[in-house]
Amino acid sequence: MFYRGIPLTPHNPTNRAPAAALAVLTSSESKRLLAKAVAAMPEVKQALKSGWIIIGRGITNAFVAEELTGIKIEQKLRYAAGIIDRGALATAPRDIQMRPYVLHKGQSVELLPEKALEEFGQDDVFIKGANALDMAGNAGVLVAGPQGGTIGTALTTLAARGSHLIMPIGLEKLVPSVNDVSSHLGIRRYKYSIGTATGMVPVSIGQVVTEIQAVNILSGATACHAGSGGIGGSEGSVVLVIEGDDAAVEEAWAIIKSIKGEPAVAGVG
Amino acid sequence: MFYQGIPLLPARASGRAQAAALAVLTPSESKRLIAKAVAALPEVKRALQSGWVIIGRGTTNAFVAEEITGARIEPKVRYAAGTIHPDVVGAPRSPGQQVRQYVLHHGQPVELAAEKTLEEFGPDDVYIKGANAVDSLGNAGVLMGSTRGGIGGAAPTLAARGSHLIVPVGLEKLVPSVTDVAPHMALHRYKHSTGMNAWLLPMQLGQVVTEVQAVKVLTGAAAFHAASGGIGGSEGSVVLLIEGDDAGVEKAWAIIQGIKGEPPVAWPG
Repeated sequence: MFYRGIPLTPHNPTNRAPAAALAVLTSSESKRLLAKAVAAMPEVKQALKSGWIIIGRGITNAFVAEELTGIKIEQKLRYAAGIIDRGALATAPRDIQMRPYVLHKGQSVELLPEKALEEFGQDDVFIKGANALDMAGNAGVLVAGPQGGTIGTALTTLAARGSHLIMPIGLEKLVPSVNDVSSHLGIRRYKYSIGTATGMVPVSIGQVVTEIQAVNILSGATACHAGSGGIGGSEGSVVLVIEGDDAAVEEAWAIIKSIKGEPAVAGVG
Repeated sequence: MFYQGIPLLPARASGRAQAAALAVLTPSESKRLIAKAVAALPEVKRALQSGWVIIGRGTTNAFVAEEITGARIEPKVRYAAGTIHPDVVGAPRSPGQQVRQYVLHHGQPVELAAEKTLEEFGPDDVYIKGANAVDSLGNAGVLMGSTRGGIGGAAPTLAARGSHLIVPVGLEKLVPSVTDVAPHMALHRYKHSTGMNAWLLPMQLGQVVTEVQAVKVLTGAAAFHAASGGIGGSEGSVVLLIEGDDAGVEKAWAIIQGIKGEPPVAWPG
């Protein structure tokens, strides 16, 4: 489901707000926007103060980790496990991989996520990106591990304990249906694959944060996803219409301006 | 609607097919796949033989023009009008930058403006136009920087005459709803914009060809859109699961192998 019930399309599509703006965000600019929004969420702030936060692996989460810890991750690839790079499913080289951040009362601790999960209660927060998102708010995570990767092992614990699962996912990753496609994937199923053979873990209990929820969290304005695409390094860009009262649109625009120019995420090279 | 009723998601009850493969396509590889499929459509073949084909502007259509005419178009941005390129939504308009769009009569390029050609159009003639947005119902949307534009003027003529409107569009461009977002957009509405102002023209009458329809048209195999994303130049990539009988999957894989490595569409300079 989407964060606090903010859907992907506005409830009243014809009710135009007084002010509007048109923004294009590249894939990395979107990731920065999502990360800023995740850091601004009340449940994340609360857990930073008095609980546990696990920032799972992933490129989007490298941005989230930067926003939450203040530490700059120059080579964001180091925070990822699975990636899509050079036109193929791949894995970040193991020798450069960073440890995922586990924060206790806002401080980074030397504990593995699986260990930290044992401490989790209802107010603790697990943050995890995804590779797919559908209109119903179901997220899909591609996994190469036969036990379902990080998300596969964490999911049942989070569900059992009612902890927060926050999923920052760019609209670039929209697919028609996560649930319908998941059962067709499986790591031992393919005759051929372009890169790593992966299965997909569908996640329906996450609170999904796309650019739409992010704009609303950060500024109070609403956003609609109007188009996507791009060439010349802008591939995967999204076009957003931002609406609201004048003050909200101005606030959103100040944020948009501050994230424009975010460098693209480099691959293995 | 989708080409010949091939939906984005095959019927769920159909179960798993005999053979499967997992493919990743970058945006330019997807454009090549879709272009090959458009060239293989029976209505396109027939119009090439005995009717009119107009290949409207756009980078996807630059690939379509290559597949249909055999000519090579470089840089492909010269075939476009509006583009999303570093930083902005914009249009290449400096003198000599745009190449003439193709109008084909009986398969031969003719020196006739698209608007004039449309006067000759009957039910068997074909207008091909890419899009900037597509939703899971098969509504396509075109971002328009002017009040008329090519497709803006052509759409009513095509509807009135029942001509074919073929819309090649990559799943990279999936949005939640074309019809919900369109009323929010208008040329003179925005207080701020990261580039050109644009409105969204919905094209409910088009026959949409995404990677899913393309795989089916070219091989008979089914394809599912499983995930999207990417880094290091693979931004906007799509992950496709391909299923079918062994022969269908083999045929699909041969085509996929043939298009892997298609160079990205560059912004000149």
